[in-house]
Amino acid sequence: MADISRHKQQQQYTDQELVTQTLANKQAFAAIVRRYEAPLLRYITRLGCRDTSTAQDLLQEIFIKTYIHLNDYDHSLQFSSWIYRIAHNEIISSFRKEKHGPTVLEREADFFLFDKVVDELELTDQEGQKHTALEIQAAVDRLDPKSREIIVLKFFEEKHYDEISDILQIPEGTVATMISRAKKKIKSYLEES
Amino acid sequence: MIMLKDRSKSILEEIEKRKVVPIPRWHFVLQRFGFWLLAAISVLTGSIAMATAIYVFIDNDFIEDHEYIHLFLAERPLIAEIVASIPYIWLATLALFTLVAYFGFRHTKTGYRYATTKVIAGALLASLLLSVGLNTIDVGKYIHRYLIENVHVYTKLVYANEHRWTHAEKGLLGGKIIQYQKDKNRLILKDFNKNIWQIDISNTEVRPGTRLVPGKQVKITGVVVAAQTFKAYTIQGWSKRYHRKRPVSVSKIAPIKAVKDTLVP
Repeated sequence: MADISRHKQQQQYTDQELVTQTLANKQAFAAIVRRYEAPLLRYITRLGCRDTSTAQDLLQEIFIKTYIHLNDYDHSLQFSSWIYRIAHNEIISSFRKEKHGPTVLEREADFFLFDKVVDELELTDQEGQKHTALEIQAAVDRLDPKSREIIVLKFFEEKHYDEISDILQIPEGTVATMISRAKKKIKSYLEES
Repeated sequence: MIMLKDRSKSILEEIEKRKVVPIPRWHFVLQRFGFWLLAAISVLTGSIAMATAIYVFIDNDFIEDHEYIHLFLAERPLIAEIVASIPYIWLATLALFTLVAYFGFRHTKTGYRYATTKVIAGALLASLLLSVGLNTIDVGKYIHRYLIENVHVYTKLVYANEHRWTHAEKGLLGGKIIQYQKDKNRLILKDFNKNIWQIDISNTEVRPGTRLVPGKQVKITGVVVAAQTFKAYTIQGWSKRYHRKRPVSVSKIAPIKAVKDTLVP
């Protein structure tokens, strides 16, 4: 009962407050883990890690790294951007170690998000018909890791330009350019198909 | 689909097991300070390189002293002379430190938010402005002189004005006055190759503001009359501001036309 009541109380705290609390008492970190485990696991999967145990190991490492670097968190940033940055670096580093790139996006879970990509990028064929989610999925899968990453953050994680800039540590202008390039690539892949 | 479970407990257990603790804040503060320091030192070093580059280029006689330009241009056209005189080594040093400054700035807390071109342009501009300030106190000159006199390999890396004035056989001799023997109308001079010369100044035009005192750098036109002996026609200080100073001693003046005839067959 005490645990449940503590969990409910912790849910009301902001990320910044939880960080401050964790630095005083590490048990408070549990609230951060609970808040971010689902989105981060989705992010890991969307970036292409589909092996369950690898994804969970990665998630654990991300949280441990987050805990170790808590004092580096800059309160002027959104905590979500900061933890996504750690996740991004950890995932990329893991891909490099494993020497394999991302595999296909998980279409079943993200089906409606592919539709969103179609709408936002105005992806229509020559007859003005919208491309299907399946076609978009195939095109996104063909993207190079950097373009794919930016598409995942923009359309699947629904991050704003400034957040993507903070996560990938690149200027906002570069984010816009990369999205535009990725869009062109997707369009050319769709035309090829 | 990966199944989720409350892993907060297992994460905390893992933290406990690995005995990890948050890295202290001072560590990150120090790290950021280190990157700022790296960027600042790089901009400063770049500005020193820029100051020296500006000095080496401005010091060339085709810019500073138009009087002798025909002597140099007798060997190659002006454009070739200018291209050869660009201090590439200093420009390369500036480029290198600008990149290091970019690296340092990029790793500061919000350095990543700025476009590469803007950061590099900013670092270059800062180096340029600082270099102008540094050259008001002749920093570029002192560095160049020190290297010319003490670092042998440096003379191979830049084509400086000192090279032009190290051709006694063509009538151009430069260097540092070691001794001024007023009674004998003679100077003892060490050239940029560290050779010692006796300079006969008995019939020499000493340009206004030229101070014939030991330690001063001078440019002399004339002719070799014997081994390590040079008869001077004109003599002037190396200083860029010689024309602002009062003449110290003016002996008999030899017309510069005669020098030209002697030097350029």
